[in-house]
Amino acid sequence: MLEVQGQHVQYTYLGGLLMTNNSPIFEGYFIIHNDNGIIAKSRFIDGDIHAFGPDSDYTTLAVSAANKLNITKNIGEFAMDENIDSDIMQVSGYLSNEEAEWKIICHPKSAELCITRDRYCDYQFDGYSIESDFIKSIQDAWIEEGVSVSQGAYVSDQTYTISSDARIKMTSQKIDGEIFWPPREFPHKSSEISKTQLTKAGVVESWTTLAAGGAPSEFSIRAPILGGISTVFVKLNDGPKGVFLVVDDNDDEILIGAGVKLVLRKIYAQNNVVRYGLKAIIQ
Amino acid sequence: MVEVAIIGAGQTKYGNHEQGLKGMWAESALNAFESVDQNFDPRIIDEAFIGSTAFGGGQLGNTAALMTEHSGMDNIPVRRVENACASSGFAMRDAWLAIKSGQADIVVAGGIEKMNDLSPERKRFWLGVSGDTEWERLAGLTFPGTYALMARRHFHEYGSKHDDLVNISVKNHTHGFLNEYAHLRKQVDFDKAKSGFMVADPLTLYDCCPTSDGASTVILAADHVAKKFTDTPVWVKGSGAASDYLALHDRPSITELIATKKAAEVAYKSSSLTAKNIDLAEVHDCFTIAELLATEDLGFADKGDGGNFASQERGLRNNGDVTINSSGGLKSKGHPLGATGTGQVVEIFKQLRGDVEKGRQVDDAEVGLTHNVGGSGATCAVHIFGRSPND
Repeated sequence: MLEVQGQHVQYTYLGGLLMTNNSPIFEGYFIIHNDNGIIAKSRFIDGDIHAFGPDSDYTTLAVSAANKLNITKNIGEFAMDENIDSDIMQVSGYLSNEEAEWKIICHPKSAELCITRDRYCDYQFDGYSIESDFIKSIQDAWIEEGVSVSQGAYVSDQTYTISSDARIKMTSQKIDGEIFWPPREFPHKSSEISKTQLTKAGVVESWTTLAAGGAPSEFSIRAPILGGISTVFVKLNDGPKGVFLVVDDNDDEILIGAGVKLVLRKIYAQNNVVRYGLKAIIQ
Repeated sequence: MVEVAIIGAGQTKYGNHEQGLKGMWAESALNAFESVDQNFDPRIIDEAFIGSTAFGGGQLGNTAALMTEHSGMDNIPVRRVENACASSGFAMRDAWLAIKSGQADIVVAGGIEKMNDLSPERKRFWLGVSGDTEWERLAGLTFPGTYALMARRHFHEYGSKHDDLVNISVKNHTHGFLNEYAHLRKQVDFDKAKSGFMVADPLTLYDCCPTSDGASTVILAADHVAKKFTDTPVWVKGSGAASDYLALHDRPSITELIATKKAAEVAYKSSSLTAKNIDLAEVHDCFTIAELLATEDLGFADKGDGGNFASQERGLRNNGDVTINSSGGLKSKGHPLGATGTGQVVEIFKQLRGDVEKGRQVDDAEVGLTHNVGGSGATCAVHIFGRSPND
């Protein structure tokens, strides 16, 4: 499915910003930056442009780019391109403001974007070739999925929204020093429950790969194209446990004891709306 | 305190039925009525509890009323009991409690599910509705996936192996081969069971039960009326039930089912019996790893020794201290979700009365146990039965 064409990374200065080469892979994307901005691209290439992996889009790329930028900065609002889901950005901690100093600009054709205070800038990466047919199949599957998802186990918009802080920001509850995630209801007054953000990292305690036929209906259209989907049971570094899908473009062996980092990806589509959540990158 | 007896029990064959819900229930109920030694008129039934997940949504509401109107049980109080795959295990408990309370003398517990009249896609829609929808399902998990996580962790913590699970599959197919009510009546050898295609790594096809149509019916009676119908009732000696967190990640361990342990503890205590007293057990082997965990959680094997228990064939009929799943279990007999719990009781009723087909009888069967689990362990009902009432 994914053929490694060339290991990263060849940089070619195209103008605009002078970039530094520090850890070009971040949260599964090519991301380079300096103090003035960031360029983020999918690792996959179809012909002469970058193409999104099976569970990525401009929103997931933008969140990762903003996360990278905020390792050294503290930027909470951006002017966002219309291709980016501002609601998901907000849940991820980034507000949309057309007047903001920092702009997120998506490339009109290629799976890449730039966060800048100035003008769009670019760098050339080699990447991993991805088959055009595969991309088309996945894109078609996302569209089909959006209108035909489960009638049996239905997660309503309200239920999904209520849990989005926990699902995307890893917001947990702390009661008498004990951390609970995912959040639950307690016979306590709300003043006794504090909120805390968990580190998006942990260790695999168990895992499985479901054959396409064993996947829930939410994934039944894409799973055959992907060759199945993998799930990890993770003990988070902060204590609680959780289950997470592995990113669709994972090529690493999954082992008990392996470290994982949780990153934003597309989970599934319902009512023509993509639902996002955290998936695991095997470290 | 009143003692509770089973005076009759029957079921349909499990599998792919030409009959719909009404026809299957009527057949199951008739089989139960006809199993009563003395003439039995269903109009004397006081109350009924019918387990079903209403798979497919064909008759989601008032399922029980629809069933009883087709079995001569008109105008009695009825309700559908829903606890996923443990629905009729809990219907059994509710029926037992109704008689124990003194409010009813003759009560029916039963279950029904129609699973194979749906398109594959719609069936898939329903197969995961009883797991944790908000977190597990959106992490790609239905029950093969959750049990696969348990299996791999058990392998890691206790050194059990997939071959142990293969042995469970082979045993249950051996048992079910002779059961004329079983869905998958075929002998499966070790190599065949080991080579099944992967469903949820490490679980293969031969680790998974089939989806079955079927119904089962049990007639319970208070001790003072039971003797009117039979000289050989089967006595309900103990009942226990419990629940647990719905999602695996909220539980302290995924290599045991707390609901099973708590339900068994109550059932053993109420019967003044222990695991050592059990001659045969119908345990909830929706996946082979579930049987391995059950043998540990019910006390038939030490914690971590469930793999050895399986590979040493200690649960094979008349081969060890206890026979596990003499019916073939969910793996071979089949798993019509809501019908499974009381279907397990049907098997114990027949075994304790010596009424099973040739070659299937568990020797010297005096005490039997049923273990019915909902989902990945969110609910569990355990019952203990004997040929004699409690002292």
